Amino acid sequence: MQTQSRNALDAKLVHNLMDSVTDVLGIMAGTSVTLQDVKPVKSFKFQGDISSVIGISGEHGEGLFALSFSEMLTKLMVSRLLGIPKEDVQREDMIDGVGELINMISGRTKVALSQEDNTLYNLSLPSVVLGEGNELETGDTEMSYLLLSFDIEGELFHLQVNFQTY
Amino acid sequence: MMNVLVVDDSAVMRKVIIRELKQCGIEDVTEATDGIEGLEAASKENFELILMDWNMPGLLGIDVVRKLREAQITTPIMMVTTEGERSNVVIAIQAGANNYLVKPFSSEDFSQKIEQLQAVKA
Repeated sequence: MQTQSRNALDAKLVHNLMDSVTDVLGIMAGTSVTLQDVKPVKSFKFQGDISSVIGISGEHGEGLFALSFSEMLTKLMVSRLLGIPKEDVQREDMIDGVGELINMISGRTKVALSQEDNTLYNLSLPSVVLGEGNELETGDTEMSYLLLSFDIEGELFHLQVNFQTY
Repeated sequence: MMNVLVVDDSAVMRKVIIRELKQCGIEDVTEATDGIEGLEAASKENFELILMDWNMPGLLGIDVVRKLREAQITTPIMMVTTEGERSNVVIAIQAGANNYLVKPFSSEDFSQKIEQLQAVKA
């Protein structure tokens, strides 16, 4: 019974996250996004040059979402967010922009989760991690994670999810 | 010409908002990088509109709204935030916010809200 409800939540969560990624990048950056893959992974490893991570917690669950882009894709996304050429994007805006994207994606997801669970969720402030392959150690070897991979114009980016219900 | 205070801890989001304001014909914009700076700016200067993020380090935007209203500062305030739950909209209105825009927003959403606020002012 517990497994069934967990799987049901995972499916809803993935659906909500997919919609949120598509909506946020579509509305704010005018970008079309395609989901390429969803798979369980054993570790929370940041998959791109620039990653932003945010915590979510509520009465019925808590977790982490992390968004990872290559440097090139970060520059493209921020240039579209700001409406400026890629060459004019500053390094600090790339870092801030990835943080703001996970903030908006998580915000939209938390609204959907709140409506489904009829409870409120809170978000932490986002943090940004630089460098590929860094691993977040949660101390729980039984923990499972989901890795969602998306495509923008032939370039992949990733959303890593850890969410536990209680 | 309307003067606007934009309070958001994200520099990118402030730039996005300032670009949208320019498209609405509003060029006189002051930036505050967190709630404390926003409270100080709004207490010192008479703005015609304040755009306020909710989640910021130091002092939450919603608490800035409460403090400004307690200080009898009546400048129209629009929350611009990822806090999209209806209950949070109610909390913001009860605290004294005049309008609410959920991130992400389109240029059309933004300009519509600014028009609403300008209509109230007129």
